[in-house]
Amino acid sequence: MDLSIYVINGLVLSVLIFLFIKDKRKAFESLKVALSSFISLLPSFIILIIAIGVLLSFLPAGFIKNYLGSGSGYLGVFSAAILGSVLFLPSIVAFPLAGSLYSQGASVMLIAAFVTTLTMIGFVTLPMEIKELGKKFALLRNLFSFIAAILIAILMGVILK
Amino acid sequence: MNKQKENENGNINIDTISEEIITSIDSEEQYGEKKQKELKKQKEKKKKILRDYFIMLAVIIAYIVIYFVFPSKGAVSLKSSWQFFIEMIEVLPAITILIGILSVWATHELVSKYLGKESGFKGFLIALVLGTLPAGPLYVAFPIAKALRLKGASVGNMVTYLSVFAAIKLPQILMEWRFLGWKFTALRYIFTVILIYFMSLLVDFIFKKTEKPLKGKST
Repeated sequence: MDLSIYVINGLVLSVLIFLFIKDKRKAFESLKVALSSFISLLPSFIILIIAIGVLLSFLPAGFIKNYLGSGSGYLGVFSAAILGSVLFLPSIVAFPLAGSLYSQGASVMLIAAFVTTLTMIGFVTLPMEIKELGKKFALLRNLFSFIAAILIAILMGVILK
Repeated sequence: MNKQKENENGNINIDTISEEIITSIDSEEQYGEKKQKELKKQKEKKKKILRDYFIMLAVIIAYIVIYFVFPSKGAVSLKSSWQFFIEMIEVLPAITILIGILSVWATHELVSKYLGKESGFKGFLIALVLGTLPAGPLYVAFPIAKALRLKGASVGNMVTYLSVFAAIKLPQILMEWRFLGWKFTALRYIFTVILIYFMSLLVDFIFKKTEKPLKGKST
């Protein structure tokens, strides 16, 4: 029904089989890494699943559409971009969250801004970036990433209306 | 005369050998330190995971309480949670296996071997392709970017590598496709690549205008 499920599983499975033929030991090692990353990601996923379930049942119908929909305008996009910059959330966990908000009526612009700043900007890791790469570099990169995220969001909002 | 030369040679040999011993001791010490640091990091990581599981347990208990206090809402939320759970479990194992494969095969050493001085559009393309491969959070890429700079890569390429590393990842793309649709995903990545290109040009330009290139530090 949904093509993406088949492509994702098929792709990974065929790559895995190929790697097992090529280098058994290394293939096992990557499965071990996969298991440990699954274990460390699992709590976030369970919490997310529960939080979304509770949120959707307690919020009045149309709440997300009213407050995160296209009516939220540029202020909404800006807030979503700020939220995405400040939060430290694994992007693998963030996409399901963004997806459920999107299907509940949140606007394209808002979701695009949130997802883009979430991945590109690290407010929490900014001190580390400054220490490793210099103040000027780190601040410029994060500032331009923020502007880029807003631009991407606006462009997508215009096209995917 | 011949003997003297031999002696000299011998001396030199002894010198180099002792130097080698000293450096090997040094690196062994460093190695031990590194290992200890890694162990400490692993311990901290385990602690963090344990804490996450405790939080998860608390949330589950809260969920059960909510279910009994508001039975009607509880049923609705359980239904949407279950639906969401199914959506996740259809792709999550594959995605984590992909992360495992990438972190074993596309190591940072491998990537930094191919990333270097190549500048211009070709340098952008190389940084673009290499940035998508390694797994991990953004902060593990900072030391790599620093090493690139010392290797003589342009500031623009550093921006490209870091931004691509942060924004464009294979597991991430697949996840986005699954949950936000191919149209949204394709458009967002196309715009992201274009904007990263302009960003790298802009930052490169600013650094060239205000600073001399780091010539002394490159080897």
